[in-house]
Amino acid sequence: MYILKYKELIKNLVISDLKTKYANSIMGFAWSMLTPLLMMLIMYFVFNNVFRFTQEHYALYLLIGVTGWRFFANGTSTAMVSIIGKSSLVTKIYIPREILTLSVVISAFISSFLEFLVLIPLLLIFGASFSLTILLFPVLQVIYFMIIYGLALMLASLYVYHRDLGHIWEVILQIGFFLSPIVYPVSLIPEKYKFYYMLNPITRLIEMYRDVLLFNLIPGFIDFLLTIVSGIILFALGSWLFKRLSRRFAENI
Amino acid sequence: MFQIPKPKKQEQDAIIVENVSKRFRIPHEKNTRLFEHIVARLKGSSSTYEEFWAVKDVSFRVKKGETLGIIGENGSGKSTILKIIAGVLWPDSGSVKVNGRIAPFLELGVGFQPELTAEENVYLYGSIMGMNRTQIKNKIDDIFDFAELERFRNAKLKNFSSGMYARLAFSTAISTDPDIILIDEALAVGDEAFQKKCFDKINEFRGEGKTIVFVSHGMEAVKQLCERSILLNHGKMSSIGHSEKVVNDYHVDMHIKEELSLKKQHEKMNEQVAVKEVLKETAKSEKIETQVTSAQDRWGSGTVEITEVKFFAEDGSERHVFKTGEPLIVQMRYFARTKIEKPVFGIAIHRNDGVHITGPNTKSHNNVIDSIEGEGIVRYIIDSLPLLKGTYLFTAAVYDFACVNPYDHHEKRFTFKVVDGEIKDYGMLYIPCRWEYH
Repeated sequence: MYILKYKELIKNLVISDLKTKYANSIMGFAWSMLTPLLMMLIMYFVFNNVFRFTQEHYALYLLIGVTGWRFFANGTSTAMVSIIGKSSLVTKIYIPREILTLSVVISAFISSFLEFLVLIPLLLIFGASFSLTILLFPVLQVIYFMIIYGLALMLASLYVYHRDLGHIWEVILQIGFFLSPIVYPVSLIPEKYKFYYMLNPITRLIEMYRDVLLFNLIPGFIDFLLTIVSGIILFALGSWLFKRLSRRFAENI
Repeated sequence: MFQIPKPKKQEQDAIIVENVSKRFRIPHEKNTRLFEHIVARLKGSSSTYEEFWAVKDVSFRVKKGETLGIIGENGSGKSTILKIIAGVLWPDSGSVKVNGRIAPFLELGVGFQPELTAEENVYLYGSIMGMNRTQIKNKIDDIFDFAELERFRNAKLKNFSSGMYARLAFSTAISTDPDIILIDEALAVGDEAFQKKCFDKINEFRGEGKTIVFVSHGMEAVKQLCERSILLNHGKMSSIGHSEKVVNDYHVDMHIKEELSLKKQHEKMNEQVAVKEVLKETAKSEKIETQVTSAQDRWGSGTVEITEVKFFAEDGSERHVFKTGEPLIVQMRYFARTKIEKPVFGIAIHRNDGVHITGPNTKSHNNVIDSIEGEGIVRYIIDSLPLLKGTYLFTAAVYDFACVNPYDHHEKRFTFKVVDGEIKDYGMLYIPCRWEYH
């Protein structure tokens, strides 16, 4: 398996990615924590005062939603340029190209993990209580990783051939942000659309994060099933597409 | 009880390349935007690119422990085939099978980061080559020792000279202990001493039974390092076998190519003469004396014209590339418009750097021609060409008896080449001689 053979390279790439992400700004890691917090604050004021959602712990509800969404948005958009950005490792030497995308997604995974870690004291401060359900958090993170990595493989390989995918994906992320229950409660969705709405695995995952971190609930079996299955499907599809498209990477970069 | 180890079924070939073809598409206008791509598809003009086969139906095997050379002109597909073996490029058809751990030296120092120290870069580069930390750690002293950069271990790479950079990269790359090494001219790094070291290292690898594929323009290096070679010509394999033979085939190919291009050039020169002939016909009808003075490299009154100059070999075939020691026959056709008394035909040979080698004429060689009229032929014959390897320019002229007024003068208009034959001396001329020693 190439992951084992190249684990040293994957480690190096992840570390250098995290380094450039955090070390190059004065406040480093603080920024990656401040951004979701500031976003949460703005949304809290906008949505709490304008729309008046009757959502318990609305601030925390928002914060978990935003943090959860960031993993998806950051992971997919940085992974999209992962092949183009390291073109010399594609055209001048042979390494399994999946490594380039994988290491970027791992780096996003670690960032997201750290962001959630900082979130935990905030949960306590804002009056939430913990239970053992928090132990399911890593499980969710791994399921989420599968979904994101699968999509990342597709995006990274397609982006080599079609550069305006970048703009298209930006729009899709904007739409996705509002199609997922980040700023509003799921109860807002009309009952007749709910079935379709809940097909989105991201929706389910964000709700599951809230279940385990905020509401001390164990997510439903159907939630696990749907998210895991979509993770496997996306991963398989992504790997297949990547394998096919990676053959002509070197001449199209 | 112990078991006698059964000999594993040994794979005899390290690399098997079978019917490999690679097509490149060069878009006229790159449709990298999805929108443009869709528009192009809808228009049905999906073929907005130029296609060419960089490698076409190439098959060969490299045995374990063998050193194979790949030669050919620029653009013949050498690097493409190497990249296909390395896995960087994917063949459009055919297959490549590699048995063993491969280290491609397509370019040295891929992934080096200038902001990191030399040592950090060795770890990084090593990991790109698929090594883990302990493996690199065990070798790091050897790497710096071989690169002769022990003192600069903790210096940042951005302060390195290009030679130091290349030495570090080469040393790291060879420390990966590969079974198969692909080398693409990467050895042209560092100073002479380091190059020799690299050369020695490659010889050491050969001694250890490693498989090497070596792409090069340096024919001497190929002959020295490789038992067998293949010759690529426009993506096709035109020769395979013993390096000495393949290098020879390469030279023959080059001569054929040169011959063709010189022939073209030569025909153009003679065509220009033909144009003048038309001019002359019209001039005749108008009864006006013409001066053939338009071109800078041709002048004269035009009363006598040299209408064609051709080089022939001994067997009567037209040629432009000759070997030292071969006969060379120059045939000049002339046309004298009126009866001309005692014309003098002359020639000159210059080397392409301007050195005047010879300039005889019929008068100085006591070949006085009484008179000429109409068409005729003059031949200048060298029984054994004394010129050595090089490019030479031929001048043909016809003057009056005083050698003052030119009828027609073609200044350095015809090019021919001389290549090594039986005689391969240094310099410009082969002077027949003898050696004595006591």
